[in-house]
Amino acid sequence: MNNEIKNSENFIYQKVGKESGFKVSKNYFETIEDNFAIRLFEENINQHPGFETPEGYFDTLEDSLLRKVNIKSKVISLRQKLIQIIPLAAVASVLLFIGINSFQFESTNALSFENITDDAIENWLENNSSSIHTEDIATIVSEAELLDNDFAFTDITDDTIENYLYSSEDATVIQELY
Amino acid sequence: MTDEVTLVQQLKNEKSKELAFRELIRQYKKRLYWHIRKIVISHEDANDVLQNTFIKIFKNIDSFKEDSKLFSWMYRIATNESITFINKRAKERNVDISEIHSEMASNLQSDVNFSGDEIQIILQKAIATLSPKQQLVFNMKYFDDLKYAQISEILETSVGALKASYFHAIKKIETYIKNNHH
Repeated sequence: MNNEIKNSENFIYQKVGKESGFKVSKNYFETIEDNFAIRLFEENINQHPGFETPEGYFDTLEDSLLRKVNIKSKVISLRQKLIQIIPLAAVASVLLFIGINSFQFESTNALSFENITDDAIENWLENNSSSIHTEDIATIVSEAELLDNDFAFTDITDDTIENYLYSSEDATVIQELY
Repeated sequence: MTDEVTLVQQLKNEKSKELAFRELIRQYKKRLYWHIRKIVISHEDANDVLQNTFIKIFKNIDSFKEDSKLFSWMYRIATNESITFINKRAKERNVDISEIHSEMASNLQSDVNFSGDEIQIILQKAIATLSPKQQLVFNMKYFDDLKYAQISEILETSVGALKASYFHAIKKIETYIKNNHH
């Protein structure tokens, strides 16, 4: 067996030599001690970080996180109700409140609500949106008239809602969430 | 160079441990690295395993019984860490360990840390066809020039079994080269 091993070894040596072909970058071995020192330091830090948590922290973490998630869900559903597209019927009520005098009528007929066309209302809205305040709309439009589908394509960002909630001194909005 | 007995004493002493450890790394890093590299093939993986090996040595030096050579003990740790690494890689990819070796050997051509010729790639592919034990024995005997007695201490396998493993390994590699290199 020893001779066979010797012969086979010689064959392989003739073909391949003793080089495996593997190489490393020029300074690799010079950096091993320093890299190891860093690694050891990190290991020690991980093992003994010295940080503590309050008693029962992890036991109650799940509940407190789930509570926060539920709050976010309620804010989102309130958001859907606050989306800005207002049905024309509600707009008409608002305009009546603000003042009919702003309208330009095509005919000289007596001023009446029936003479206001939908197109006229829309045109007025486009040109005078700064005159309409959300408080005015909120005063006129009851919650019953605000249907979810009416606000289908409006987008209020979460940041806007959050900022409103934080800035509002009226606590009733927050209270309504619970 | 600090002799082994003194080095071990310094390593087991809290006051001198870190400095002694630096010396240990300096003395053995290349030998351990190349041993690991031949098993895991990739330089990046070898670097990771080498660091894991030294960490393990550092943490367990107090349990080194000094009834074997320090180098054999470290070499054994390096071997086990390398095998663990390969097994983990195979498990992650849900493949057999032989497939992992074949894959690694096949990727050598495009590896920037491999400068071997075609024949050396063929050799690595041949090694990949061996069993894990045969691969270890072949690499340690052929490339590292370790004696059977040293390999026996590292792998905790009898000299007779090692000779048999080496014989089969050598024969397989010879046949592979003959069939694949013209």
